[in-house]
Amino acid sequence: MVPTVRDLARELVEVLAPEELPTFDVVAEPYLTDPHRAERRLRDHDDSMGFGVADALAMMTPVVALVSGSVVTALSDTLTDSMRSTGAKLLRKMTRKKPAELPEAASEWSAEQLAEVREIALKRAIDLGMKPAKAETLADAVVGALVRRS
Amino acid sequence: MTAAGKPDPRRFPSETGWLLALLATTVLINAWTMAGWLADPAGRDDVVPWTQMIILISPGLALTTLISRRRVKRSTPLSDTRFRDAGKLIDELADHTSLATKPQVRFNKDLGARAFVHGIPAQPLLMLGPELLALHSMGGGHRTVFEAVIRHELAHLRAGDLTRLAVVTTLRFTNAFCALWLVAILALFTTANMTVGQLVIGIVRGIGLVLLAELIARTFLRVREHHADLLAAEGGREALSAALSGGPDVSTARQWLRRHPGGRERTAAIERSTVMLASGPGQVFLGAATAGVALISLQNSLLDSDPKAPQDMILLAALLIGVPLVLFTAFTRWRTAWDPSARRRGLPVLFAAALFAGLLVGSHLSPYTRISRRGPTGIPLSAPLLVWFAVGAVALCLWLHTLGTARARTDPEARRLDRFLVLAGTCAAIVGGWLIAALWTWAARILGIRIGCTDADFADSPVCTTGFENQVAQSVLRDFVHGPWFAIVAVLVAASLVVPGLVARRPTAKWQAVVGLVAVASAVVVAVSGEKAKAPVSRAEIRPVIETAPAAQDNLPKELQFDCPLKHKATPDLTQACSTDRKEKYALGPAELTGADFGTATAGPSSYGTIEITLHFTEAGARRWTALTARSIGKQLAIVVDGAVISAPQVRETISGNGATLSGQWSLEEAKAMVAVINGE
Repeated sequence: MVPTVRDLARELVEVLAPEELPTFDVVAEPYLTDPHRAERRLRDHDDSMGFGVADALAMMTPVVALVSGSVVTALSDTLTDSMRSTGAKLLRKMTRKKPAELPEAASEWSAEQLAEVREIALKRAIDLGMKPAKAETLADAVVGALVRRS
Repeated sequence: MTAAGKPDPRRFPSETGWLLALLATTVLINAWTMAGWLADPAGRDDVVPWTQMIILISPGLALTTLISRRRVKRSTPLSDTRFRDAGKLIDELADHTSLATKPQVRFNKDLGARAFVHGIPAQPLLMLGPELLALHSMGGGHRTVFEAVIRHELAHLRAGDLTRLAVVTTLRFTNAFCALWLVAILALFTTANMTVGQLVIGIVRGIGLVLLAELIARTFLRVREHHADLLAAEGGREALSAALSGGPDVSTARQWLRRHPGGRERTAAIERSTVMLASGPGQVFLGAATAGVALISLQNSLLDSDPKAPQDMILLAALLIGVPLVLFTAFTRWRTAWDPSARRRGLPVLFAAALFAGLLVGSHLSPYTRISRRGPTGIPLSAPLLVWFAVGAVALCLWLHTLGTARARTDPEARRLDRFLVLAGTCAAIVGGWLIAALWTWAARILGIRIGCTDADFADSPVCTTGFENQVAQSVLRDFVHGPWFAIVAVLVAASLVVPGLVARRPTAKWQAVVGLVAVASAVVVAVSGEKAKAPVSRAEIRPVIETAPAAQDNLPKELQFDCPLKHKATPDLTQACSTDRKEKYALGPAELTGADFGTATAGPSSYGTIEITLHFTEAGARRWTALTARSIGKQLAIVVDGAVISAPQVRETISGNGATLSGQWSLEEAKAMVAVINGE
């Protein structure tokens, strides 16, 4: 089945950065409720009289939450491809609505689907500024989480 | 804390005050001229635009307050959140920092890993995001990084940055409002009396000035971050370095647009205390550009306040702006002299290029002056002048570089920096003041003549048609190089290069004698050059003609019954004189204008093909000339040189202005010879 973004993100943090679990809810909240806005703020942090290098301090949780969002969106798009018209998908993208109730998915993901998801996760993580080695680990963890669920 | 044998950067004069002054100067000049324009668009009256000034500044103040209130509204006290434990640690760190007022710590869930201070000094606020606070909960190395960030923020409070931030933010908003007004005014003027070209120039100047102020503001903010890092490092350099090491490496070009330096620069500044805090040439460029803007605007105001003494006002403006500019350049250059990593061979030239380019660009950015309405403004784009500006900048920066590096060699820990700054700073102020005054006077004279030549009444005058730049250069040479000021400058430069070396040696009797001889020789040079510098006084006079007749005429009136001398001779009680060719005799009245009333005379061809001599008057001379022509309409006036009348034109109307043109049957060589005599050469 397709996990929710929150569940997937929590599962990934549990595996990759367990020390961040106690603060997961409060840290991940902005990235789960309005990922576009939160991502913009993640990149724009050059405050006057601030510390200025928030990237360096950043935890794994925000990147994991944003990557999880992209993965779940991709998965739901794959599943609902046959059911959803292109226009509806476009409308959803434009209004940035979360995926509607997802149908109970196929119990297994194909190797191609998993490879595609891994690629999406890897690309997104690097795009968010994660170092390639760490991004590879995250992409593998995403695949692992999906396989465990199926 | 600095490593042994290395200077503490905080011993050097801080660039903070200078940068704040630059920002205030740029923005307030922009706002003041804009306010003046709003108050009196036609520029007819002397209106002091205080009301318009308040209109321009108050939105900035209001916005600064609104933003601060909005930030408070969007946050909650840390004690009301699950991160209240972090509050205790922050309290302890604040105690350790010895803050006068502890900050109120607030939590904003949207801040991510960010932290910043804001508010007013009496009620400081420390805003923290959840990711940063989570580091505290995670403990271990994460907590150390959290502490480093908090120390950095508390260092801002300890250094009094909140007041500075409020001033900078208000100035930046005022700057933006001035830009908006500029767009509106230019849009109005396009439909009225402005060409497309003028509109484009106006917009480019406006954008340039706004951009300049913004660049200064960001440089200022970056400098404050470095200072906060240095203070925070006192509580643990390793933790701060760890927090900064993962920061982004920012390219030099992007660096200019940021409020924070890149992580690598900040780490280097902390770990190697000799790495000075910001780009020296970059700061000099900003300083010189601001000086260029201010020079034009100040000169304009001074000329308005006393239009009767333009030369004095130009000189005063050059000194008032030039001396601080040279001191700013000197202090910036000397800061880098103690940094081994900054001892690159081409650095003085880079400083000179920044100084030259900044001054040139800034002088052309000053947008709304009286001068710019009438014609070109800024340093004229004249090749010889620009070459000398560049040569002057290179010479000045090389000299400052030599002084700084020599001192850094003899005093590597900068223990006696204060004495050096006082002595070398005084020398720099005198030498630099002279240099800027000479170059700017040269520029202003060329600019003045160019503006005059755009007037249809003067367009055909010999000055405008035959070229004037050589003559201007000569006049500047006479005023600034052949004077005692130059001798003092030369002695100071020589002494500043030689004396420190001598003092560093053991003061033997032989060396004391050498220093004594140098001092005596310097005094002699100053005295001799002062004597030489006495400007030659013109030998011309203007006297009313009482009676005139051809020398060959019979029955001459009694006043003209005298023989023309073979050799003319000037006497104070001259009442009888002949023309230079001895064909005309004149009975003359007392001298109305004497040599002291004349400036430099010039000779050249007129538009009719004849040769003209142009006499220039001093200000007092011009007033006397106008009054004399007013009461001599229909009469002749004799221009007498060394007892001979070179011309005796009839006055048809009152002639105002600071010059008079004489035409005659002279060859160019004869006219030039006559000009030399008139000029007293």
